[in-house]
Amino acid sequence: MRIHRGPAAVDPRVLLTAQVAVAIAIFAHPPRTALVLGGVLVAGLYLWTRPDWSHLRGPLRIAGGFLTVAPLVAAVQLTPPGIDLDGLVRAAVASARVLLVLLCGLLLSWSQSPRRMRIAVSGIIPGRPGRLAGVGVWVLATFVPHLRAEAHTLHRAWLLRCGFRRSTVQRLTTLGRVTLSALIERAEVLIRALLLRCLSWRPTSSDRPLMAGDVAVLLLSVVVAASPLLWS
Amino acid sequence: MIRMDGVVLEREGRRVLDGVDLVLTAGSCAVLTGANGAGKSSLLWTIPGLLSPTAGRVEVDGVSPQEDRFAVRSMVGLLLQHPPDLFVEETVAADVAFGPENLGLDRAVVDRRVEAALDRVGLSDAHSESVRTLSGGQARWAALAGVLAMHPQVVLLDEPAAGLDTTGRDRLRSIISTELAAGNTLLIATHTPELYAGCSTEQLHLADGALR
Repeated sequence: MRIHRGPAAVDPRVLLTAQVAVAIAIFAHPPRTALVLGGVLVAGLYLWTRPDWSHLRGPLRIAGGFLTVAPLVAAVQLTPPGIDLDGLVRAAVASARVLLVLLCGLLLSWSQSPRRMRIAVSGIIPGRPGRLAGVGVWVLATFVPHLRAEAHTLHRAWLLRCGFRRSTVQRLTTLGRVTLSALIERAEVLIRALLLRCLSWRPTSSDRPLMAGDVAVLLLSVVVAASPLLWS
Repeated sequence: MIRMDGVVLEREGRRVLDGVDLVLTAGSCAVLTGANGAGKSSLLWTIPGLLSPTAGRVEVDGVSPQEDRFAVRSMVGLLLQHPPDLFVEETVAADVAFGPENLGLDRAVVDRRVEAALDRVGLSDAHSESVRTLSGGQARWAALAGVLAMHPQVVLLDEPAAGLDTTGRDRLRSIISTELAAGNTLLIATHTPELYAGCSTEQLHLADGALR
């Protein structure tokens, strides 16, 4: 029997609830408290989840770059003095809140399989909308790693055959065209596999009763979500 | 169990199957040969309804995949020529469980089937391995475990021995024999029919879109 530790041992629905609770707290608290609480939560979650940074690097690089540039762009004024300092601070705080929520979300979910994401979403949203959303999240989370693997394969083939000696325009157009057709092909392959393997809206449930660890995380989530009310 | 009447299949303007007639009874094992591009895989794909015939009719246990896809696909297991194309989950065990879960079986039954299927293909220790890091041979076994875990009455195998070593081929033959002993129907597309000489009851050859 395999023993799960960290987030993998917690019910996926509870983990999703925890992510929502963290987002509520970080956005509802006043800036200073939100940033301190966010920092504490990130540190705590880091120690609990012990993440594999290779899983987090990609999303953080994209979101981090965007969130760093966004306040600078928001602060630019067309009239003198050219920069709105108050706006810069406001936008930077907003960016920091988003970054903290993103970090907490990534730390809680990095080890989650598409299957657990489906269970979480369809377990929290009731009825058909939940099942639909669950399948949507699952398909997306299943498809993206396949796509990345496909892109790596293409890139490797490109390098092995000295594609780097071609001009940038040729490189972009050829790789763009080939990647697009690989994407469509990959989608077809996935659809074929789902058809052959009888994709169902109501598969066997993976539900299990909530355990002590789940209840503890759930209680902490309630406290975190309610903290803006408790401290106001 | 499998019945094809005058099946014509056109793909991209080309007539791949041209009036295929086939009857395979329960408990039979047919080996399907033919040159590359002769349409062996296309023929297999029409049985669970992945490809719809341009003309003619395909039936599995009296049901056409065009009329009841779920009924037919829950009876038919198809191991694709490129097995990783069957993977939809992250880990081996989760992927093998995917099909039985879709049949709505109890969790305990699903878990038992996963264990049994992985044991049959020799991947009992690969539960939590990522399907993307498997070797070619292991990926073939994992995909076959996913097929077997659904307990199909019809098993279609497209070049199942490709890339398998001698031990693997022996294991494959043993699995085929077990399926036959259970009364299931097998259709194996291959370039090496001699591998299945001991278990096949029928030899089919596809040429110019028709069975000879």
